[in-house]
Amino acid sequence: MEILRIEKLNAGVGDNIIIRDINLKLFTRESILLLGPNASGKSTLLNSIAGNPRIKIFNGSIFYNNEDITSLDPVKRNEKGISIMIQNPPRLRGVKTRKLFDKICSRHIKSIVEREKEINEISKALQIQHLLDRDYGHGFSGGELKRAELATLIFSRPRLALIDEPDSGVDIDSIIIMATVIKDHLMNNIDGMILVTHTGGIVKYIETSRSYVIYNGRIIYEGETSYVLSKIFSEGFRSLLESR
Amino acid sequence: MSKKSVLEEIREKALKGLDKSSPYGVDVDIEKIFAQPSESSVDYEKKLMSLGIDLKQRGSGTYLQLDNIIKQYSSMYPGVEVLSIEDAVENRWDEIKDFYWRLIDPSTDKYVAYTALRGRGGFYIRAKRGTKTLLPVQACMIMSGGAQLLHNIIVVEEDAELMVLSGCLAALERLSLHVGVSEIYLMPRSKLYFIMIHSWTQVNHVRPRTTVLVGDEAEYIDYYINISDVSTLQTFPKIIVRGDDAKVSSYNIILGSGSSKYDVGTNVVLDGEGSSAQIISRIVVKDSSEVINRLRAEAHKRSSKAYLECNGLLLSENSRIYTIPELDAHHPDTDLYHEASIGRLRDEEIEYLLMKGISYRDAVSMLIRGFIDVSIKIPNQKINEYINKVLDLFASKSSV
Repeated sequence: MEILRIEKLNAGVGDNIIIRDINLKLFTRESILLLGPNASGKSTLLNSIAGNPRIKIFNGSIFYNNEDITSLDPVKRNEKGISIMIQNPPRLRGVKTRKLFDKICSRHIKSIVEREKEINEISKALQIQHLLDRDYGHGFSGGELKRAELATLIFSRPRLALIDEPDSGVDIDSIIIMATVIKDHLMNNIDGMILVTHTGGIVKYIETSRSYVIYNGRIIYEGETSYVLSKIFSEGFRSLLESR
Repeated sequence: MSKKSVLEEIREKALKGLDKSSPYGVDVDIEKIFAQPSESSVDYEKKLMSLGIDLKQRGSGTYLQLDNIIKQYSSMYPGVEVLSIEDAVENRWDEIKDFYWRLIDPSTDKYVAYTALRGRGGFYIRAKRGTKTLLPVQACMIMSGGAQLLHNIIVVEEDAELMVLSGCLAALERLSLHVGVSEIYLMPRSKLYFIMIHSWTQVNHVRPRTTVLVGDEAEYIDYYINISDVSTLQTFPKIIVRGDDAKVSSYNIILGSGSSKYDVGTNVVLDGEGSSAQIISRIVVKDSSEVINRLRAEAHKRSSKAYLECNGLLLSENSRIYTIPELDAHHPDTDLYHEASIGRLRDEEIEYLLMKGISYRDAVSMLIRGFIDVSIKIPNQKINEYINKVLDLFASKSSV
């Protein structure tokens, strides 16, 4: 069964169309990879699905569990189970990391003690306990920020997880930590996942069945992950464009 | 000089100030407000509880005044004394005479002059030498209408440590004026935490007049939070650091809402070697409110340091923040800094929180709560919890 269907989506920022004629499907219990070079439109597509108010939908539709959510606000999408790990989350001055985690957790866990337990468990797994009493994002290293951002995704208990470039600009240790947490605390509890990468660093640790490749705002290839990855790693993204 | 002569001299000085407007803020017709009725049967306890002030909680002392009626005052800790100012003048003249109208000239302006001539009530709090307690003296001033003109004195003697939690509020929405003339003395090596929470209504005028004298190695920490509408509020407290190696930390958190007009600030004079001051303010304005914030540091002696910081947040197009930081150095070996910024909540941050499933109102409230968090820790867990609750209330009111 299909949980996500995107039809002829054109979206961008302001008057600038960034992604064009996007068609994409995600089936139940499926994890797919979205690949593409820098500035190809991967984040725009993920943010379109999450309902980022900054993204303007010019035309096309997004269906989630057969419901048209194209114009649904991000809070309602989140309530329905769509949640995103942002590529570059903002730094929130004065907002303690623990407080942000607790606020996100509070939608699913009423007991303060249980929330505290969950926050401590996930923070320990992501090795970010030392950040809990600091302002969110302030003074975090690149890897710490990615791991904290992944925590927010897990605390929102998504049905559809959108993970935007967890592996860009971080060391291999952080990638392994995140991949372990995604496998142990996320993948068993979700209906589907879209994982975005342009470096491919995380694909060694997380298995996906299919891949989409986006280039200059258009999907240029869809196929088995193993084939796509071998092609890209040996010949680059352009090779897929040329082989169309 | 006899008591009678001193009181006569104060009166003479005050008479000269009756027609003197304040250089700052909106001018208020005091006589008109005197004619306004008050309501002595008002239920103020509920109102106090809404601010989180529970008079039944154990403290080191209590002072409670409704309009011009002194309801109660008591000391509950050895070495801490709480009296009404009238009681102190009547029965403790020898003790109070060195502090009574010594820091503030009764002719300063008409608000001070009226208080000297026609004021009723106010507290006299004294922590005796070496007394140390972090159980607060709770001082509550409630207004139901008319003029409430108070004269307060706090004396913290050598090596003493005291905390005063002062809640001033309007129990009814009636035209009124609150003037609190406060003279605060910190003797060598003493420490005072002075926490003030104000909650007014849109028809109240408020004119606090405060001067603090800080002695050698003493430390003065004040924390002022205002969470409500007001008609006008003008204050420019002066902190004179006379002692060497003394410290001042002052935090002002103000919410301007409705059509409130604020003219606030802090003026610190560093006149002791190695003395330092940190003045931090956070201003949030919405609706059509206006806040003028004056921060001033003056340094006269070597190795003195001051840091002024004013951050403002505008939540509406019709509101205004005008911040005026001033540094005045009279000695080459001083370090004076200021930082100021005014802006709005960043869309990117709100959008981020929306995508995390947090409602717009909660997102704004969370960001405002972060903005006003000046991360001070008071060594009393209950007081910290209390302040956090007030700041939560501040953030939630800001986001409506």
